[in-house]
This record gives sequence, C-alpha cells and structure tokens, in this order.
Amino acid sequence: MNNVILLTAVPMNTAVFIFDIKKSPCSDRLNELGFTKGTRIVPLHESPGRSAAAYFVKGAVIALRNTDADTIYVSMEESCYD
Amino acid sequence: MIKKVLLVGNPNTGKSTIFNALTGKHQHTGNWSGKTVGNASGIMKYKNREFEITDLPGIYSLDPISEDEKQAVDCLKSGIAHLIVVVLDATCLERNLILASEITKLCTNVIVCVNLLDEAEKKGISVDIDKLGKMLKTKVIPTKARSGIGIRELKEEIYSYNKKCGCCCCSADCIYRNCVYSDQDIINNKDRKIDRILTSRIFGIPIMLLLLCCILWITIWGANYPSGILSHFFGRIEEFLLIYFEDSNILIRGLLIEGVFRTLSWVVSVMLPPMAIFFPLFTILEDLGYLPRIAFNMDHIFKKANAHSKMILSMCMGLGCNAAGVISTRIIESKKERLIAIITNNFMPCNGRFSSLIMLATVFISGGMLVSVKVALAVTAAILSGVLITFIVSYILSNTVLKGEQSSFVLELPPYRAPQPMAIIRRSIRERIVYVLFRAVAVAAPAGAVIWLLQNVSYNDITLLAYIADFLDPFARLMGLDGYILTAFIIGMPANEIVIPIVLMCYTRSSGLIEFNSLSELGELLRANGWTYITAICTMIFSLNHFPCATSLLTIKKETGSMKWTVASFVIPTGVGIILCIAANCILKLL
Repeated sequence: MNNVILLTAVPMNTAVFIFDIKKSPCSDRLNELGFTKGTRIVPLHESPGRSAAAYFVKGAVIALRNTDADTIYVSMEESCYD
Repeated sequence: MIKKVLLVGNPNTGKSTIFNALTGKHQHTGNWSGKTVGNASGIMKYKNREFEITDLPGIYSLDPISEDEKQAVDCLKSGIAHLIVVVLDATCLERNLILASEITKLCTNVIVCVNLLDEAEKKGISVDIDKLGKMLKTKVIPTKARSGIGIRELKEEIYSYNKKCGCCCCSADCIYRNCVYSDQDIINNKDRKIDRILTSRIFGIPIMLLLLCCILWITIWGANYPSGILSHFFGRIEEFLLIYFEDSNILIRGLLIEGVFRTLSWVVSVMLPPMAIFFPLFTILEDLGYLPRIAFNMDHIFKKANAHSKMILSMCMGLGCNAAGVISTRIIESKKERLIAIITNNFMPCNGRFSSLIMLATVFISGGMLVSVKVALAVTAAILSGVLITFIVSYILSNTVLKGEQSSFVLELPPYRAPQPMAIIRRSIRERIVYVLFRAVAVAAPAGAVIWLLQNVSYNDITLLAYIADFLDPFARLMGLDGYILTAFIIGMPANEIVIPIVLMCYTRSSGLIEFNSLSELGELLRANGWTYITAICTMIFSLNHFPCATSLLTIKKETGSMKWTVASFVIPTGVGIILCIAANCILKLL
C-alpha cells in the first residue's frame, strides 16, 4: 500500500495504474469511461485554472475535475492491485 | 414492413456521419461527445429494398446515466431492431470494445463497424479485422466514413443480413490485446502538442477570447457588403412593385408591399449575412474539436459558479439557436445543473440576436479604418457580459432554489480533426440561409402585416401602434428605450431576428427609407428618431437579457416538463434585462 497515491499527486506524463476508485456520484461514469482497477492511466496536462486535468485512458483523453480525480488511487506498478 | 436498423456506439465515433452516408440525410455532426442528443431516423434504399436507419445518441455502457443515454438504451433494449450496427472508433478500441462486447452478449442481431480507420493508421494503430470478427463472433465491416470508404460494404451487409451472430464470450481487454496493434506516442503526438498551446495556463483563455473576437470581426467585416447589396436589390424590387401596383387597392400596396415585403426584405438583408458568415466559422471550431477544450479551459470558473462545465457546450449551441442550446443540455447528468443550464441558456445571444447586436454596434461606432475591429470588440464584450450574467445567475440559483451537491466534471477531449470546408458550406447554406429565408416567410411576413395594420388602423386619428407605443413609452424611457423598441421586442417574440426589422419598420414609414448601402447608413434613420448611444446600449442590453423566443419557450416546456421552470426561464432573463437597462440608463445619463 506504500506506493499507492492519489491520481492528482502523479506528475504529468507519468504512467500509473488504477489501484482503487472510491464510491462517488461520478464513479459509475468513470467506470464506463474505462477507469477500472488495473487500467493504465497517464496525466497529460492541467487546465488553465488548475482545477482539472486531462488523462489518457484506454485510448481516449478524458478531462477530470481534481475533486473527481481525488477519488482515484493509483500505483506505479501494474501488478499492485492484484 | 420496413426493417429497422439501429446505429449505436460510444459518443463521437462517427455514427451520424455513417447515418448520413447510408440515408443521404443531413443529421448534425460535430467533433465532440454528446452532439447527438435525440434519435434521428432516415430511410436507406438499397437494391429496391428500404431500411429505416436510426442514429442513437452515443452511450458508454448499457447502464445509462444522462437523459440522452437513457433514450438510446431504452430504444436498444426495446427489441424493435431487425439489426444493430455497433459503430466503433478504431483509434480508441480499448474502450469502445467494452460496449461492443456488452451488446454482443445481450443481442444476437449485431454487426460491428470499425470506423475512423484512416485516423488510426495515421496514429500508428492497426486492427486485425478478421480476428476481431472471430472473437466477437459477428461480421465486422471496416469503414472510413468521412471519405465514404466501406459504406457500400456496410449497405450490402445490412441488405443481406439474415443470420444471427454467436454470443461473444471474450472480455473486451482480451479482444483488444489480440486484435489491435499500436505504437502511438501518447505524450508527444500532434494532438498533445496543440493541446499544450490551446489549453495552456498562459495562452489557453487569451487564445479563446482572440478566436471569438476574430470570428466576430470576420462576420462584421464580411456582412456589411452583402447587406448593402441585398438592401439595394430589395429596394429596387420594392420600387418596381410600388410603380406596378400604383393604382391598386391600398391593401395590396400597403399591407403586402410596405408591410409584408418590406419586413421580409429587412430581415433578409440585415440579418441573413451575419448569420450566414458566423455559422460556418463556428462550425469550423466545432469540427476541429475545440468546443470541449473551451469547457476544459473554463472549468475553474464554472466550479466557482457551482455550475457544470458541460454547460459551456450548451451555451455554444445557444449561440446558434437557444432552442438547440436547451436541447443540448441533455448531456448534463445532474437534474439540478441541467435546469440551471436551461434557465440561463437565453443569456447567450442566438444568431438572430447577435445579428441585432452587430447591427446596433455598427450603427453607433464610428472610427475610420478600425471600425470593424471596434465593433467586433463591442460585440465580444456583449457576449462576454452574457457569459458573466450566466455565471452570476447560476451561482444565485445553485445557492437558493436549486441548491444541491455539485456534480462531477468528466468530459472526453476528442482528437483534433481537419474540418471539411465543402461539407461546412453545404450545411451552412442548408441550415442557415434556407432556414432564415423560411423563417422570414413564416414569421417576419405575418409580423410585417401586423405592424402595417397597427400603423394604419387609427382610432381618434391615432394609430394603434402609437397607442401601444405611447402606453409602453414611460416604462421604456425609464429603461433607456422608447415605446416602439419595447413594442418590437413584444411583437418579435416569435423570432428574435425580426425585432430590429420591426423597429426599422416603425420608423421607416415616415422617412420612406427602403434601402441602404451599408449598415452604418441605418444610424441616420435611428438618430432621426431620437436614438442616442444610450438607446443603442440599452437596446443591446435588453436584446441580450429578455424573454426567450416562442420556439425556445416551447422547447423549455418540453424539456423540463414543468410550467414553473418555463415561467422562470421567461421571468429571470426579463427581470435581469429590466434591472440592467434601468441601471445603465441612469448611470450613463449621469456621466
């Protein structure tokens, strides 16, 4: 668990793997967009107001508000969630 | 009986482009998730047989969240379809295959269409179509719909489809790993390089404002000449008609020529050119994939206003038509935030209203060479004030009557795509020019007749129009307007583009002006009727902030299903408009 961090804490352009997603009003939407346990995710760039960031997930680029990204825990290693 | 075929898939996979290619229809397409919010149907004729093709709004899974997705999933599960065509985006198969495998597990009447293969090739993604078909246990058709490649094969497959597919038992991940080969650079590809500029902390918002200003400047600069030419053309026709019908009945001369024909020609010559220029320019941004980037750039402001950032997409649609803007709020999942988006959509000036803004600004701003730049800046400021009022009203609503937890902001940023100029021009001619001409006949012509009757039917030697205008005049003066302007806003309720032509109609009767060479010439007419820059500013404010047109109100009633919120959508912008006009009038008079 030591190397599990919040998605918003990941430096830009660093690939990480989703470890867990907290239940929230947007967790169903995140799940269907491909934010599932074990999925590789890469933060790409922040919005001008730094309230949101764009992430590469399953071939698409998805913009997420930081409050929503804070429900996602990630790990640097792919096998960590198993 | 005609067999029904449903087109389903994730948002922005090119379903509407395929639908148009199959049916020959002209369903709206756009490069962003949520462009299609309602079902569209059309007939595909192939080898003497007919199929009813239905283009469904994009869905990510079979458990819908937003209104448009619920509609699509209900239709999919209703069992009405002879065949379901699942459209996949070849550049994003890892996620698209999740929905495809869900559908092939649920239904057996499925074929799969892998679209956007041209874009995938450019990104270094290749797809093993045969293997994909074997793993999904269904027929897979590769297409490049924008260039028409694969459409004939898809038609043939729809035509000859007769056997059910097997049930797919592989996971989406497994299918993806076996069928898709990718060596794309996700960090330094072309899209990311563009994004680093267009959504950058330093340049993101300035570029956005500059683009808006440039579009408006091109619209203003370009509209002046066709307006003058059209006015001259209609003026000559009117002169000819007046001579030809010189001895005719007053009803033919007055009602039909000075009433109906003149209003119709005002609407076409003053309002049509800006609409015809702005719309294709805006469509270029839409097709490029820039609109979701605007939502991304402005997220922090929407967050502070307790509003959903997707609201900016419905606001952008509102720039074209507020009724379309109201319908496009279906992409907002939260009911509370959707209501806020519906009520505030009218603060974005639709095509009809910002043509009025352009005309008013052109008439009252002078300054030699840079006049069109100044006008563009004035209209940009007017639109930005509409955005600011939207934020303030959203904040007030979300903290009072529509209080609730703020929902999430999750939005796909689509790949940048080169716009197709010919398609944009065709669409603009069809949707703007034909639409405006139709509205000119359907709405402006009857309004012209009403105005002429009000101008010519008298009681105690005072015309009915003068009675109405005199009655409204004291209140209108308080707002910095006059009775005729307020009357025009009320009579112009069926369509915003007729408001300024009605004002001109009210004034032209005495002046006899029937044509002008440029928009600034109209200034003389308005000044002769007592207009000052305060009147122009207050008219611009009330044009931005007043009740929605009849079509928008009917759409709001249909979308909210509530009389209460329809009344609120009428009262709130009108109240804001009255307060702002009175305030502006008082302040400007003191200066």
